[in-house]
Amino acid sequence: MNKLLQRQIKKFTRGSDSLHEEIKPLLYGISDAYDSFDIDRSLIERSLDLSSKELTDANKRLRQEAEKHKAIIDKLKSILTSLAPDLNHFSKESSKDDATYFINFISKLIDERKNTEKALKNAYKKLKDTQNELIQVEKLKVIGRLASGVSHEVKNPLAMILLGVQYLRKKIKSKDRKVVLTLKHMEKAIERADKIIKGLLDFASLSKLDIKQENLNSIVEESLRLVKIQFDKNCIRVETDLKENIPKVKIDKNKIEQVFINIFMNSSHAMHDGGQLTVRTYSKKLKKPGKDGDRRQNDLFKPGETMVISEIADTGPGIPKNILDKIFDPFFTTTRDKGGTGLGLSIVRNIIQMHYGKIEIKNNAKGGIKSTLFFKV
Amino acid sequence: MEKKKILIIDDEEDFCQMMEFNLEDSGKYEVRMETKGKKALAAAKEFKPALIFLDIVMPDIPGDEVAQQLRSDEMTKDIPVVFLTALVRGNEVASQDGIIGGNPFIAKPVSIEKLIDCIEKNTRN
Repeated sequence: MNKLLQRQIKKFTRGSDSLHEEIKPLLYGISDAYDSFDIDRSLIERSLDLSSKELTDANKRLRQEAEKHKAIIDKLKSILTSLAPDLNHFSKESSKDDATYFINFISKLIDERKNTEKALKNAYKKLKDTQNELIQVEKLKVIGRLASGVSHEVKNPLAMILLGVQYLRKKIKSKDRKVVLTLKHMEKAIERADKIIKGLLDFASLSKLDIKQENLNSIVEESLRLVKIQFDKNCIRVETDLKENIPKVKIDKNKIEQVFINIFMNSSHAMHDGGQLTVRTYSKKLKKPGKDGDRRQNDLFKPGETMVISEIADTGPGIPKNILDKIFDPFFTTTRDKGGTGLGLSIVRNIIQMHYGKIEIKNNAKGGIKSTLFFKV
Repeated sequence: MEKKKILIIDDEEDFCQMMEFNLEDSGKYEVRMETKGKKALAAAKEFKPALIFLDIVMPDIPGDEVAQQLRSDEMTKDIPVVFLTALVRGNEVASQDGIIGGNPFIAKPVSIEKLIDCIEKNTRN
C-alpha cells in the first residue's frame, strides 16, 4: 500500500492496524490512485525542471542576439552620422527610440537628397545660362572679326559709289523725275548700307570695354545734351530726377552713352508730334532675391548688393504687344522704310549684358514705354 | 584764283578717280592721284600739293608709314595730311572732332561736301 496513505490511515485509526476487511478493496484502489498521482507528479516535476533550463538558455541566447543587434545598430548609426554629419543632432534626440531615429533619419536623408537634386538642377541651369552667355560673347567676337574685315572691304566700294552718284547727280541735268529719283534712291541706299556696317562694327567693338568708375548722372546729362536738337525739333519736354547720392558704377562711358542715346532716339521717333521724356536715376539695396526681376537678374544682383537704376519713360504710343518680345532681336525693326537697321536695341542689350547689367522695356500703364536699366556698383 | 593742288594716295583707283572727278568739277582744285604708297613721297615732292588725302590700308606700304616719310622730308613736312580710311566709323571721327592721334581723319564713305569742307579747313586760302 502507498506509504502516504498508510500514514494517513494510521493517523485516522490512532495506531491500530486492524482495518475492516470490507473497506480493504476500496483502500487498495485509493492506494493505486496515490501511486499514480506520485508518478504523474514526478513526471510533471521533471518536465518543469527541463522547461526552466530551456527557458534560461533561450533567454541567454536572446540577450546575446540583442547585444549583437545593438552593436549593428551602433555601427549603422556611426556610418549614417559619418555620411551626413549635419544630421548628428538626430542621434542625440532619438537615441532611446531606434525606430523613430531611423525613420527621422531616413526622411531627413530623403529631404537632403531632394534639396541636393534641386541645388544640382539650379547649378545646371546656372551653368547652362553661363554657357549661353559665353556662346553669346563668342558669337559677338566672331561677328566682330567678320564685321571688321568685311566693313573695310565694303566701305571702299561704297565710298566710290557715293562719290560716283554725287558726280552723276551734278552732271545729269535731266528734269526727268525718274532719273532724279533713281539717283536720290541710290544715295539713300548707300547711306543705309553704311549704317548697317556701322551697326555691325558696334557689335565688333563690344568685346573691348573700357571700364572705369563713372557717375551715371553725368552720362545721362551728356546723352541728353547730344539729343537736344532732335528733341527740340519734335517738341519733346525733358524732365529729370537724378538722385545726387547714387554710388559710382563700373562702366564704359562711351558705350553706356550709346545706350542712353539709342533709347532717347527711339523715344524721340515715337513722340514725333511732341511729348514728354522723364529720366530718373536712383540706387537701391536689394533685400530679397526675386523681388526686382527675373532669375537672371537675381543671379547678377545678390541680396544686400546695391544697384544703380535708371528709368526712362516716354509718352509715345507704346509697343504693340505682339512685337514686345522681338524688340531685342537683331535686324528687327518697324522703321525699315525710314532707314531703321534693327540693330539699335540689340546692341543696347548686348552692351548692358557685357556690363553684367540688365535692361527691361515695358509698356507703361498710363501709355508710352518705360525702359529700366540696372547697373552693378 | 589759283586752283589748290590735291594729292590722293589710295590703292583704290576707282575711288581716286571719283574723288578727282568731283573735286575738279568744283572748279577749285587740281587733283593728282597715286595708287602706290611707295611712290607717294616722290609724287608729293614733284606735285607740291596743298593737301594730301592718304589711305591707311594699302598693299605695298601702310599709310601711317607714308605719313612718316612725308613728315621726315624737308620738302613735304609741312603739307597737311588727311587720313582717308574705311577703318574708322563716321561717329568715331565726329566724337574726336575729326582728329585721331594728331592727324585729321575722314571716314569712308564720304560726301563731296565733307571732302571740300575738310580741304578748306586744313589749307590756307
